[in-house]
Amino acid sequence: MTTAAEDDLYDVIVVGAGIAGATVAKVIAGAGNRRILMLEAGRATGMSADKYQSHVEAFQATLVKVPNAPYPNNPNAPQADVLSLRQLVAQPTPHQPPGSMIGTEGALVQTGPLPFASDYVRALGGTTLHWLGTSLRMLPNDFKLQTLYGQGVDWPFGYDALKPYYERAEYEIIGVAGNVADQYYPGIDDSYFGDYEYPMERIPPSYLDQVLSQKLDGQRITVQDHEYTLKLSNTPAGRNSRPRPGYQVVGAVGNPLQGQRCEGNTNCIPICPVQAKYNALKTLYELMMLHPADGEPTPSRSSVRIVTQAVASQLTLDEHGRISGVTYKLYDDENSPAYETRTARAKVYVLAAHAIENAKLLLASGVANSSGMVGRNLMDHPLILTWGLMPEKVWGFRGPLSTSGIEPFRDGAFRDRHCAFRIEVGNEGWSFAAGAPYSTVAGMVYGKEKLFGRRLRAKVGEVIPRQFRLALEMEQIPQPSNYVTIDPSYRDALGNFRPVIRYDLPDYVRAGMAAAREASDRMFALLGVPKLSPDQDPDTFPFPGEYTAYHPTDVGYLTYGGHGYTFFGAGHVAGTHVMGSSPATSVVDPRQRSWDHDNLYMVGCGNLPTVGTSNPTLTMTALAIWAGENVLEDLRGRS
Amino acid sequence: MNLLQADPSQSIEGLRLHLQYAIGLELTTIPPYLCALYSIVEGENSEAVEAIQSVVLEEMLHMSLAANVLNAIGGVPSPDPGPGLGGISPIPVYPTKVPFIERIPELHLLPFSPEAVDTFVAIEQPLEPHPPTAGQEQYDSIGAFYQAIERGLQEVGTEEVFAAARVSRAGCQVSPHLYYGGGGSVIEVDNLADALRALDQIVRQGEGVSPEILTQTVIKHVAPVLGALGNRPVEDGDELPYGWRPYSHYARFTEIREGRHYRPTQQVEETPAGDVLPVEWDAALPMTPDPKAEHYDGAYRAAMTAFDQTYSALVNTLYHSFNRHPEALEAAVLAMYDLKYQAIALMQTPSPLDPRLTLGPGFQYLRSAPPLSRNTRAWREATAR
Repeated sequence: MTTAAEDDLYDVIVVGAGIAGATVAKVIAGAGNRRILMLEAGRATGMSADKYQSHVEAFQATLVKVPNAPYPNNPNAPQADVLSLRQLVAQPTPHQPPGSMIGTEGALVQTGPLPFASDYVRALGGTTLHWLGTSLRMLPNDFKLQTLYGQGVDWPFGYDALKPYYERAEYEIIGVAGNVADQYYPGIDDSYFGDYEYPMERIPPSYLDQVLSQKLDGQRITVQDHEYTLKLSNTPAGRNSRPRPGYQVVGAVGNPLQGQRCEGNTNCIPICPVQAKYNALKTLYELMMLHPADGEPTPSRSSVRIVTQAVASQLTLDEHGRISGVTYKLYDDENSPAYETRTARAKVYVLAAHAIENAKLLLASGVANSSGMVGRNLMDHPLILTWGLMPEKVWGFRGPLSTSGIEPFRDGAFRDRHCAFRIEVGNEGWSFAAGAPYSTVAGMVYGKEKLFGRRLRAKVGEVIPRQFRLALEMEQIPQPSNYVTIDPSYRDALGNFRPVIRYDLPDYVRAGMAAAREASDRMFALLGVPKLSPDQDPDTFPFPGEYTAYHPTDVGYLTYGGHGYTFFGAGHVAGTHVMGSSPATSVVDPRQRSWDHDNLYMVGCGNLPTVGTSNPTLTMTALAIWAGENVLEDLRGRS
Repeated sequence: MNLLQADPSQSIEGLRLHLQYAIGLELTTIPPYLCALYSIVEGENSEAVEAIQSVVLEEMLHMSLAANVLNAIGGVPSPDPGPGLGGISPIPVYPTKVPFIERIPELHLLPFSPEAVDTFVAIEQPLEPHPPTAGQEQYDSIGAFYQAIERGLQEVGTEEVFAAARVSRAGCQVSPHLYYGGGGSVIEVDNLADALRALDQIVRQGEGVSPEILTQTVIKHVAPVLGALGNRPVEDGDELPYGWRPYSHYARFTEIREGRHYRPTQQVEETPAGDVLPVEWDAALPMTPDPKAEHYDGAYRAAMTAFDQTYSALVNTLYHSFNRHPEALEAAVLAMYDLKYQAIALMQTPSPLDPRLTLGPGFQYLRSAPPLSRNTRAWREATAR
């Protein structure tokens, strides 16, 4: 990729080339006549079909298939990785008083008390390279959490304001497959979707979905005095399927005939080998094709220059308190700390570098923080898993990782007492829960039974097709005491700050875990999956039975009400520069612009005041479209 | 066989017969491409993989288009031999020489190899179509074959014919909803104009593409970025997102054969002289050329027969979908995976007849093959080992 000369003046500089940055750039470029620079800290590996394949091969070769397995770490743009997580125990260091807890193994510096258990990708395309594709909208009541339930905060606007942007995100950016008629959420009416249909038909329900539907649909369960009616809801997904009239399916980058339909490879996370699942490379590729960097802008065309291996390290201010430039470190080789410092200037700056990276950059620059809220209100969807063996074979490991959810717990009067949660039905056996199928086979070979040959084969054939799991995903509420900050003691290879994170989960969320576990117990009973009795040895895989186990040695182990739970991060990192209606308590205004600097926008999940129970990418994309429009409005006003 | 005796501009029967063989012709070219495609070791020769995949998808699209045209004029797509032509099936036995088009080379089932790519270059080579002259027994090129069909449509494809077919062949059209993604889209054929558009798409996109491209420079011919910039280079008619124009198959296969890219200013008819395009001829499974189940015994034969069953069931599923069951196309798409896995399994099995070679897919069509289902005995036997 070519580099920008120092004094080039752009209309807009976008820091970060993931889905949020690509979306803003697409909206702005689409208006024509604009010069846009995108700075990406990581590499451009995925952009050609060949090199994307190298990610697929890395995934295939690795034994531990965590979300970042296909995307090698880059010391010059280090990325959080769940493999570096550990329980945070007392470990004095030169920088911390003895007895304090700190983990410094990965890209994140963690001060506990709980580990922040999510990761992200620093490369062209960003974390959409390994997202699941779930494209749920937030619920109307999610926008009024404080008013209705006395928790968290309200959004400065409601669902209706965002609805047209959801539709555009579903059509223009992600390409969502789903049927409106299959969506069963609490607290919505016909106006939620209105006269609307997704651009592609739903991904067909997995066989497991069909079995669960038969056993659960219409059943009523009581959880902590609240009654819920169960119904499987087919999940809208950024995953190619049969197009509805007028929609053109977008295939793989550089190989458009591939990935026109989901092939059911069951490894959406960490990588869709055919790119049937949306990733931001697709939008970036479109920008490169339609708005080439070297073309002169015209009324129907903009120029979008994408510079990779360029780590933004500082925003500078002019005497009027406006952003005057972005300084970045351009490196050739990720294994060498050599870099060249450059500055680029624009009329408007958009930070789209990820919630944690945006906060880091703002803090490093000392800008946009009159509220003191930059880095604070760090959120995720902490999730717990429950898993077991069904009485009948349900044949996981076919189709996407998940095609359905159980949604009635996403809203209700209970939200004044414990958090809402969503239940994602996994379609990959115990892969997430226990590293299946490999671990299952290993357990049979090396465990008590020491099976081999025909008996081993028979056992594998009985056990693995019965595996299933649920993920119970909590809405975490914003708290200033959960934050990312910077500390001069902790820097990466290029001398940029590493994120320092303080993270804990309040009782409101832990109580949600207890309620979710109770809901899971009720559903397991309906499915005919009892708790294993003391005389059943889990090492011999008796079925049906529940195998959920949370160990005090698990990285994400916590307790509530005398029970233990092991939580995982969902990778839904949000809330580090929240949007709000007051400059005293929020970082960006409802237009997604910094309260403090009128030529600085932020996009991405960092803007979300609360996260509800929907995977946040779709909502963030809708907001980014809005932000793009507002940037355009500012540019027009200025010219 | 002399297809020219059934002049498509003289009778509707002749036109229908031509379209039957058009469906068969498109199908005929697919197995040689699939053998090369499936033999390539995963992750290797990605340019060849992409080129071959895109051709296969287009041939399938063309097959559906030809079926739509045939249905629209009241024909009944069928794999059974056409009457009065010596009972020759439109579905070949390999190696095969298409009996009604002179300039298609003999087609063999080969692994990815220079010989295989030579054939692909020959199939995809743009040729000037010459209308048949009196006494001629074969069309000289694919272009001439389709020209005859086009003329036939204009001569005997009256509105009465289409109107009658709307009733007799109702519910037979394959819609874009069911077939998408193959570098073009299916056209539902209701009238003459639709039929001509469908034919045009087959000819422009396919083998009958104009020889003019040979004398154009690559930059005019390809230039995806130029296309995005607003210049409209000569294209093969495909509409892909963002103004991306695919390279013609002829040019792509020529590059692969030569192991070099064209220079942007070179003409397509020249020998590519640009950057090296690494081709790993060894990164292909050494399948036996033109393998046949009957040459083997026991488990080998059973596995190869199982493949033939799968292939035949797939073909029968396609014809089923052209006969009032368009939704069956979805099953055919899924069946392509079965076909691939079985083919690769054969290509990974050493041949008992020659230790240097492996088995391979014979693509022997069995009219009686039961509809494809994972529950068929053939499938179970093939996958039980």
